[in-house]
Amino acid sequence: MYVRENTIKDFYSILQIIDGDEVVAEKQIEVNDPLAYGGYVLYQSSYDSENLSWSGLQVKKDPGVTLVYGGFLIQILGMIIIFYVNPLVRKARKT
Amino acid sequence: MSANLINYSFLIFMVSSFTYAFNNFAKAKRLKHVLGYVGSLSLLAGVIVMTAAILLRWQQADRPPFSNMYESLILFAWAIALIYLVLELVYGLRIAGVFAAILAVITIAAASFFDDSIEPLVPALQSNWLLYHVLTCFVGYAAFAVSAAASIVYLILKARGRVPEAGEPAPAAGETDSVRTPGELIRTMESFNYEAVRFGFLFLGVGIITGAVWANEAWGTYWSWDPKETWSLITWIIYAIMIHFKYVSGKFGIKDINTFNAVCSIIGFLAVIFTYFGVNFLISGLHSYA
Repeated sequence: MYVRENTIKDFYSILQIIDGDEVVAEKQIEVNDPLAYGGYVLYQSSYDSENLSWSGLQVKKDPGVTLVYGGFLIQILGMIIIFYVNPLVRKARKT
Repeated sequence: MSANLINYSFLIFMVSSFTYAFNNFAKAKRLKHVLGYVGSLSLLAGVIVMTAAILLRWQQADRPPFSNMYESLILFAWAIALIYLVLELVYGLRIAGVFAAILAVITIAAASFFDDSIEPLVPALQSNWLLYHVLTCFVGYAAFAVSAAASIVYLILKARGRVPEAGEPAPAAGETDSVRTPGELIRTMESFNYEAVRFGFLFLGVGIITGAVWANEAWGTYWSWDPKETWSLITWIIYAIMIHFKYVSGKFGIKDINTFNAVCSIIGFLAVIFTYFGVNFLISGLHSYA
């Protein structure tokens, strides 16, 4: 195993969320591991290869995601039921 | 070691494509029986060798080996052979084996054009979703490949006048499977094809969804109309049309639904190939790594 030059293995930022004087959340975030707080999600989105004290963050608020995920679940279940459960039920009824 | 095993499996798959081909043309019952078994067993042996190769690479790389063109092509070949074998077992149908095995051979051959060195994952891929997303997508792709193989065989039989019209008595036994009449063989092929597509449709659907969930975790958006996402949706819709037309074909004046299915499955597989290769080489996007 070798590492090609100019590829990055990992980049991360340590975030602290301060509410008033208190640190209410602290997490090391990286590309596949964002920090969620109070309906907002903070993503590590980029970095500056020349100045590592800069970090690119993305903030997102999307309350609809739960609904979309619910749709995903219903869709997968629907396919399984129509393709594989229904024929079994029909077969059982016939006999 | 892993690369050696891949070479062996390539040779074994070659053997099975030849035996499957001879099996389709063999007339003597006994010879057909032997060739059929040799074909299936060699394909099984190839799958086992490939499984070992993939697991070895997994251990060496210390991550699922599904991250670049080489690794995904190997996975593709493995999934084609495995899914074909399962369907063969369920339907007892060997006639599509030749094209399934040839597709697996071509896929491994294609893999040899790409860099097979093990490299560390870029940060975006360092996630457990890599395994779920890539595996489900490729199981879907492979099921579509098997279906396309069966469709090619179906269209060849059709062109040679070996497909009996519905209701018409089956013609006298030809050079098809010895246990079935040609009519039965064709009916089995039709359900084989349809079943492969349904299975692939489910898995591609789950693959797109796991991709969306992963994208939401990594980039903060579950759908960004990246070329690969768009093309996988196009592919999925083509197969959705095919699946739905079984029930509504009459309204659209389609009399021969099975030929329609076979053509649809081949068009769908071309879309799969474009989703897989075309997008990577022609259009750049978020999926540039594989």
